[in-house]
Amino acid sequence: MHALSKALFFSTGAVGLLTLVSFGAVIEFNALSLEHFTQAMIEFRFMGYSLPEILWLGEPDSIADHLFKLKVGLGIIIGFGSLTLIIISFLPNPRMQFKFCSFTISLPLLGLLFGFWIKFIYDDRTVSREEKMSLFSITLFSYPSAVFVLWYGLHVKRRSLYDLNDSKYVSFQPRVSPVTVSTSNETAKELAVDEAKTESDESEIPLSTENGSAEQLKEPFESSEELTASFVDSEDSEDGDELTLTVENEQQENEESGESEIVEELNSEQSEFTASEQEEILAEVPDLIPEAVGSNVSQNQNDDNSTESAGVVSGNSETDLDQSSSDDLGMREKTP
Amino acid sequence: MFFRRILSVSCGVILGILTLYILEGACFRLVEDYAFKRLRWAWGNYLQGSEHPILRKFPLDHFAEPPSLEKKGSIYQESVYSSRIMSFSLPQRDRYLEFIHTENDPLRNFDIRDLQSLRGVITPGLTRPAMYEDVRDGLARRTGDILEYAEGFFIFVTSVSSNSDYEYQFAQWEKTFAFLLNEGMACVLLATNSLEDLMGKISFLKANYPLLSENLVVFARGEQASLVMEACFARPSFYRGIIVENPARKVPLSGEISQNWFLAHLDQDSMQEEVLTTSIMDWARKGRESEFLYPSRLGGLIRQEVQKETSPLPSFAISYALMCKEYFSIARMLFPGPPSASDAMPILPLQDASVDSKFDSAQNLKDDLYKKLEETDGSESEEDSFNCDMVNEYRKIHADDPEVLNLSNRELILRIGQSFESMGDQVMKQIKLKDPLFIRYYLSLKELGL
Repeated sequence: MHALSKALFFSTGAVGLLTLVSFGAVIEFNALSLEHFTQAMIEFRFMGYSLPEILWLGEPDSIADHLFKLKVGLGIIIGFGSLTLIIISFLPNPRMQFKFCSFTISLPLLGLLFGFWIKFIYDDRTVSREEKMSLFSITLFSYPSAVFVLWYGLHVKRRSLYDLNDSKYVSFQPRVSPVTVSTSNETAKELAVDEAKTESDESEIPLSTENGSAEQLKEPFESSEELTASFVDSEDSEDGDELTLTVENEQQENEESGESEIVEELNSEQSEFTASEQEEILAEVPDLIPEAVGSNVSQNQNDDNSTESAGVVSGNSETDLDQSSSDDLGMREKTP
Repeated sequence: MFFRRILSVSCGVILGILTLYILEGACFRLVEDYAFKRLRWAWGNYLQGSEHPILRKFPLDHFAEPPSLEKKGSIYQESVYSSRIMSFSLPQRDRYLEFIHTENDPLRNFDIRDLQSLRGVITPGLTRPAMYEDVRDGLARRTGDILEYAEGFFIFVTSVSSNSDYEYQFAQWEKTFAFLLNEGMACVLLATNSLEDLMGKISFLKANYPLLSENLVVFARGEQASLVMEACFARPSFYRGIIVENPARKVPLSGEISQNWFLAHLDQDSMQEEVLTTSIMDWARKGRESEFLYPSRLGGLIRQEVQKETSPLPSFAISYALMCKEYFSIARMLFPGPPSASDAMPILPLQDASVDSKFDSAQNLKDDLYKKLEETDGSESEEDSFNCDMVNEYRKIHADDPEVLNLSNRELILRIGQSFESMGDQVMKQIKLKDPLFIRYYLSLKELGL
């Protein structure tokens, strides 16, 4: 993806520069007849202003002066735009490229709009109703667009939950710690309380072996609904042969409220995860997902063989684990 | 990250400030009511005009300083100043041009009539009940009578050779008149070719229709513009506003304190004539000599033609005339009108006094001109009164002659003019082409028997 965007920006910039050079050569050597083009450019008027006037190059005195100012103005615009695109293509990732691109688009757009308005306000010219309407339409379209593009260019993404853990991306390393086997929910709770005492930031994912829940772990979750369903299934079952990977003491006491919070967080976190971020993460860690899941499942399979139920205590906090689950979802949705 | 946040906040703040600035400017440029309201905020009301102390700190057009009186030869500065100081009128000018291009049959709601020698006067149809003061002044028989009035009277002075020519010109001016009529101004297309005729008609109007002609604004082009300036020179208190477009020759300034507003529209050719532009600049600066804020800013303006308009009257002139009317309709007590015109003659019956009034006004004109000449002799230096190219040239040639040095400009004009006249009409015609002001001075002095 990065290579694609890089190629896109670079080639567009290069084409712009080439166009500039070829136009310069055509005009210099009179290779092509550009009469219609130049005529159209000279005759172009917006609210009575010619192009050089709009670009703050002064009112042209003659046609030759007009053409010269047009050449200078358009040359500067195309050259500057092309160079900016080429510079953008060397930025490290697509997100930064798009942000910088939108920033560089917004500034001239806003500058041109404000510049024209200032010129119009301080100029001593009368305008007709049609001209007023066209100015209004252009402002109505360009001002919000320019502000939005500027906002996107300067927008600093609010730190989400997983950023609080001092790592930008969720670790995909298997978080399987010493397996503890218990025969009932109570045992699992006790174990979890013990672990919680030793490690303050523990998380839980209750997982039931009933209805083949352990088997489900082998398969990646296709969506948050599936995961939610698995959560609900595992929590609803009150049988003693329940396989609990992680248990948190407080959440376990209030299962219903815990479920709803987890579901809400999952849904909300999923919406914050943008496509570009997913792509970046995928680009950086393409092979971790199957491994992580595979190792996790294989571990659980081993446990399954030896005990009735197992509690896997991880060293991460609850929020972190929730986040990682949602991130996993995000990853899997995009995984080809 | 911190730097980026600062950049984002500062960009937001700058964008917000710029947006507010543009929004305010757009309202000022496009909304007529707001533009006039901002003018009032900046300058205060018409009677007690004073610059707003806080708004004064902002770079608003209302606080543009007029070009200094000492600085000579910069008519472009005057033009820039007039554009800035009248920037509040741009929405009104837009409206005028829009009206010109859209309105059909614009005079259908207005009354067109002949007032004796004044043909085709269009009145806005404004009426009000007579008050005690009107009865006392002889404008009405009793209180409560319906009186017709106008907030201003716009006169377009033109030279007309035939009836069809008059009709053609009238048709051209219909839309402009309609716009002014909607603003409460009566209008007339006044055809004249002589100063006496012009002054006679205006005196008649002032004497017999004071409620209509209280605020007279006169517009003329070329030769007629010079006539209007001369009429204003003779009786400045008759007029509230003088708008001239490319006057044919220079006209000396009156020694009196100026009460009327003056606007000159000049094209490129006129701006090349140094003598004319100097004279026009003197008129404009004289117009701005006032103790009150509004006239000290708007009293004298020079406008260089920037944008060619299709209307018969430039939109700038329309706005200026309306502003002049607006100001004097409220601040008229600051500038008392001529006592002689209304006091000398009874107002009722109106129609019968026309012939006498015309005669009387012509006689008054002569008296006024005589008085003015006496005053200019007494108040101004010898070099300033009756100064023209011919006299200057003559003085240069006879610089060593003590007799010429002792003669006043007036005496020199009479002497030189008599000698030219004795040489024949051909010589007089050539001199008229070379220095029309000299011929005008000579003919005026000869007429007065001085």
